[in-house]
Amino acid sequence: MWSKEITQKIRATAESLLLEGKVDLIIGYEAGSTPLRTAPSFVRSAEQASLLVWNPFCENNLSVYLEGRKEKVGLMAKGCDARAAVVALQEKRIDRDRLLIIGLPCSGVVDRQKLAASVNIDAVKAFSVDKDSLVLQTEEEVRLPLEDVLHASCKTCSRRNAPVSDIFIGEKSSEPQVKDEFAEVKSFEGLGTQERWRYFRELAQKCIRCYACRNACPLCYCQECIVDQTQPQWFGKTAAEEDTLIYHIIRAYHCAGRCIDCGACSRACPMGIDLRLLNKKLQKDVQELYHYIPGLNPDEAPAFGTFKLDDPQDCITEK
Amino acid sequence: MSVEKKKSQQQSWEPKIVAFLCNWCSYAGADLAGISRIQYPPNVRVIRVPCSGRINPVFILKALQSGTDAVLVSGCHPGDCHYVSGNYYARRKFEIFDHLLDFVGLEKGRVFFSWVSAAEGENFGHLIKHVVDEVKKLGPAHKLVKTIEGPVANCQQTMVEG
Amino acid sequence: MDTGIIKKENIKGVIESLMQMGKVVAPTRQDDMTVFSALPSSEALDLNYTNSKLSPKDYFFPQTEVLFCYEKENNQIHPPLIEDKPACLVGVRPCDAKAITLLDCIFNDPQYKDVYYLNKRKNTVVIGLACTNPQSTCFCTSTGGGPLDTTGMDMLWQDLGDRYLIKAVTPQGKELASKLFGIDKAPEKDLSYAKKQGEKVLSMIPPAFEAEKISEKLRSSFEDSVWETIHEKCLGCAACTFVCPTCHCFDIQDENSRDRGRRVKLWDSCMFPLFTLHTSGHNPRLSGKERMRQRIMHKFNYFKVNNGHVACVGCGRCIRECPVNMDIRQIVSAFS
Repeated sequence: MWSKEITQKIRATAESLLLEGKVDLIIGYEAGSTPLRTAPSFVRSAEQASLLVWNPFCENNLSVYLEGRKEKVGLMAKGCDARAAVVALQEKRIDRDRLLIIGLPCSGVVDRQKLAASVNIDAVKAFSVDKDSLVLQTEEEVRLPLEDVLHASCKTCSRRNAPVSDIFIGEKSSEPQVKDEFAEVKSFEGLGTQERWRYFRELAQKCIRCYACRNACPLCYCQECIVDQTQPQWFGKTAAEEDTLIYHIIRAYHCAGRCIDCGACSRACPMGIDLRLLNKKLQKDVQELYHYIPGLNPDEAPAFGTFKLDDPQDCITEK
Repeated sequence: MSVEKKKSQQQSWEPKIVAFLCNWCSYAGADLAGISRIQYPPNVRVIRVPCSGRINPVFILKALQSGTDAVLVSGCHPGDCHYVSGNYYARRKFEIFDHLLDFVGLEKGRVFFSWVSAAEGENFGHLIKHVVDEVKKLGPAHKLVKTIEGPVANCQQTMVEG
Repeated sequence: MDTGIIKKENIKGVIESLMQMGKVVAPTRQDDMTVFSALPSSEALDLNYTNSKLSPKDYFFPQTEVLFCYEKENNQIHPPLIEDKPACLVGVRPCDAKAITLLDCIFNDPQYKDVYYLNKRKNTVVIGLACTNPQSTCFCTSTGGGPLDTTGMDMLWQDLGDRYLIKAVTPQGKELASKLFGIDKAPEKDLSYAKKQGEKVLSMIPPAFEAEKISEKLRSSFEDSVWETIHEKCLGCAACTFVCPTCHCFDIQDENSRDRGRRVKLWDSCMFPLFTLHTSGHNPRLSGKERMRQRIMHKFNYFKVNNGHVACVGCGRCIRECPVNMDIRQIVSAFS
């Protein structure tokens, strides 16, 4: 639910949390510098709380900023932000005592790229949300069903509310019934080997190796990424297809059983690459083989931190 | 290239296979195969690792990128791990990785996972024969292989003595 | 001929005559973005765009460039094929054309010449395309540019609706204009209309800051407390540097296989920790603070001191592509 009321409540909550000293820092969103954008915001004093906003353009996963923080943090969390924080808690990257999760009722964020296909974003002077519609003020008023411009990751999301939260602002969003969140993966699996290979080669050719996907990902917190290692240098840093594709395979694999499908990687990519496909595939396999869904319970062992004696082993060659 | 020449080149091609074997079972199994004089194709280069749990999929990708025609990973049978549970963790990693490689379009038969105990010298021979047969059917690897040759062709063919 | 008119229905013929002279690199539509690429046919050209996703810098300064190859046998070294065929870069926006002149400061340094860059530069005619539709991220007027700026161009085309007004800027541009097919004389009213249009577009890009003042101020701001917090939301990726038309930092690596190898030059970014990592393990730019400061200081202070101009042309790509909406206008304005 996107409403001005929620924004007001967020500001009031942030203010009192900071005044009461319950947190040192609130990580949230503030208005961006260009139309239809927000930017991550770091609020350290009650006066700054009025900067905070809550709208369908709050697209970043703020858990990315939790790593290595010494302060006590209040995190404004959509379902996916909170789930990423849960993974970080599971993996002992952050202290539960130093994290206050402020759950917020998310209704899915807007895919600006998708929106740009029908509206000149630069001409938008103001926007509002009216029930299920996004209302944009350009030369004339443009009204679009929110459902049509949601980011792909939000369309397959059925966990819009934080599974773990210390405070929840507003009423929890109703969780949409997603018919089959893996439909896209399944149809891709149905393609021939060569077709799939061609698809990923093209993906690799598009990539400029800026690593925005990696850096926007709340789970990519390795102190030194494998592609940045120099002694030895495992893989080349050129734009060669083999190097680039291997980078994407490794990154996705490294997030297997951890990725909560927030879509931050896809939204961060300047080249518009659909990076979620690899992650979604791994998510599907982990769910099917190990019945595990990441980011729900901080006390649960992660999929690759545990095993069962009778785990499937179809990959094993018996001779 | 004439058809005959191509054919003869294909016939003379022998696959290069990298085998990551765990120290306690599969490596000892390979050893037993040797001691027992069990014949198997000489296409494998063995790299000894402490445990199948030590295998980072990066090793497999690196081997493939370097032009290996196939990679074999082998460890102790489930329940027999020297470190109690290393291979159980590894099994999950392998299973998922195997699915992922298939998903990106790598042909089946480039990466093999297996369990071979220290007592299974004969089985080790069978396994290698099987892997070599499969890879020979596929021919040399191309996907994910990074060749330095390509750009050399783009370079001027005038030689400078260095 | 200094000025002329090309009717839009003749544009295909003009491009074809350019293609006969050599390679034509121009904006093309790929998926939902515009990128510069070598035209396979005149049909692929798309001049109806705001600005390209990536700047055309990678034509002169590719992301990966092989400097030479070597073979172990007999110590052979193969230099790469130097591109010395004529080429034409078409449809370059004024900001990006100006950026090329800034790259010249680096790769055509009196002391150090980059032959790979210069060979392409020497053989390439740059045809600019005046700006008619600035975006919310544009700020070329703050860095000394404008919608009709011809810096770095041999020729400027301006869209007047059903025709392009062409203006030759350099002798090469004039020579090319005389060779092109289908150019009519520009009537007086088109020239005055074009001027008016330029003024109108100019008024749509109010300056966001004064580059001169800021570079002056930055000279004494290395220890300023602004740096402590301004980088906080930056994720440390290289989206900004890789889409930037003036960022020119590169790395040189050797790629080896058993018996051969190659030396490659590849884009690098000051936003990566690896950029300054010493062999000893020490990193002089340890956190985002130092790295952000370097990026801003290099663009608006050091480059200005060394080359007389700030290394920013106001194309706004870094603002548009930043995953967290870092806005370089806001960063530098913090010092005004």
